[in-house]
Amino acid sequence: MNCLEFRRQLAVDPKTRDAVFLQHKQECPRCAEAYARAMLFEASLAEAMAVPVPENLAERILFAQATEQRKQARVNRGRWIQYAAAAMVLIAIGVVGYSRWDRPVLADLAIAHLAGEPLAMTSHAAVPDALVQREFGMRASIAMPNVPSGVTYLSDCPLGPYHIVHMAMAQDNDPVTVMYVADHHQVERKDFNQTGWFGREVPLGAGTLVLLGKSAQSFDHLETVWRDAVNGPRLTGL
Amino acid sequence: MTVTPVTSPVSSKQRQFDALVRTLSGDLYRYAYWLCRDNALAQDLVQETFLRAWRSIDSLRESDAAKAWLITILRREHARLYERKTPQVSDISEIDVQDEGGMTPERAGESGMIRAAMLQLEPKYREPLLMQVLGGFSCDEIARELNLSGAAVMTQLFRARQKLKAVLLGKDEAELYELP
Repeated sequence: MNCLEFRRQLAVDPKTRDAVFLQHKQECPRCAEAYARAMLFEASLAEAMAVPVPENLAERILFAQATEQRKQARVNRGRWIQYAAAAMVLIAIGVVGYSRWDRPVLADLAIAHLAGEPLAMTSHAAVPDALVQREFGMRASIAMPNVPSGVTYLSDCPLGPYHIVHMAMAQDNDPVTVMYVADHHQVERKDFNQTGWFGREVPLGAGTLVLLGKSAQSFDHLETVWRDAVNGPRLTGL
Repeated sequence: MTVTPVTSPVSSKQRQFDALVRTLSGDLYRYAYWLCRDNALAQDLVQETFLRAWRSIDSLRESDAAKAWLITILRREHARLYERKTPQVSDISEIDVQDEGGMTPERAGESGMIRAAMLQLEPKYREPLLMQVLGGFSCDEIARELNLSGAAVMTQLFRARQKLKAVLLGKDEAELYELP
C-alpha cells in the first residue's frame, strides 16, 4: 500500500483493522501523523453526532409497547370469541344438517319403502303372534305378551339408515302399514299427509311407531293398541 | 389474611426487549435525528421502529446484530413515512442543534460547526456516514443496505469526510485531496 492508497482508505474507513493499512501506518511517519489527525477528526465527528437524547425516551417506548401489547391481547381475545362463536354456528349447522339431510325424514322413507314392497298391502293371511313377538324381541328388545290382532304382513327391513319391523294390518278393507323403527326415537308425535298417504309418527318405547294408510280413520285405535302392546316389560340380557 | 400482589412473571422476550430499548434507543434516536433532522419526528420514528421490532423480535437471533437490525427497520420506517407524506421538516438554516453537554467553548464550537456541516450534507453522503459512525456498519454492509456498489459507498464516505473537513478547516474541498 502506498501513501495515496493509505490516505484514501483513511478517508473512507479510518477505523479499519486491515493488516496492510496498519502495516503502512507503522512504516510511514507522515501517514501515521495523518492517521492521528484523522482519529481526532473521527472523535469530533462522533461527538458532534451525539445529539442529546430526549429524557425518558426508553420509558416512553416501553410504555407504548406495553399499551400496544394490551391492545393486541384484547384484539386476540375478541378474535378467539369470534372464532368460538363461528365454531358454535358451524357445529349447530352440522348437527342440524346431519339430522335434516344425512338422516332423512322418516315419513319420506316410509312412503318410499312401500313402493318397493307392494305385496305387503295385498296379503290377507294372519301372521302368527309368535313371529311378531320374535321380531320385536330381536329388533327392539321388546317383549310383547299381547300382540295386536290383525297383522297380515311381517318383515324385517332396512329403512334408509334404520332397521324396522315392517307390518301390515287389515282394517275394514283399508289396510294400514305399521312400521316400528327401533333405532330412531321421534321426539314428538305428529301426523302427516303427503303424496296421497296419511301418516302418523308416534314415539314409542325406545323407538318410533309409524302408521301409513290411505286414510287416518283407524290411526287412533292402532296407536292405542300398539302402545299397550309395546309398553310391556322389557327383555333384559338380549 | 395474606394479600398476594397482582403481578405476572416477565417473559424472557419482554426482558430482551427492555434491554434492547434501554441499550439502543439513544443510538437509534441519534440516527433518526440525523436522518430526518427533526426532533419530534425522530422520536416517533424510534418508537415505531421499536414497536415493529417487538412484533418480530423472535427473528433476532444474535445480540451483536441487534443494532444493525434496528437501524434497518428504522430506515424502512423512514422511507415509509416519506411514501405516506412529506414531513414538515425545518429549513436547515433554522435548525438549532442544542446542548453541547459540558464541552469546552472551543469543542462546542467545533461540534456546532460539524453539525451545521452535517445538516448541509446531501443525503447520499450523510446516510453512509451515519451508518458507519453511528451504526457501526462496514462498507460492505452499507452497500447491501443502500443497494449500492462497494466502490460507490467508498466514494460517498470519502466525499462526506472531505466536505466536513473542508467546513471545519475553512478550506476548499479540493485542497484536502493533496497529501500534506
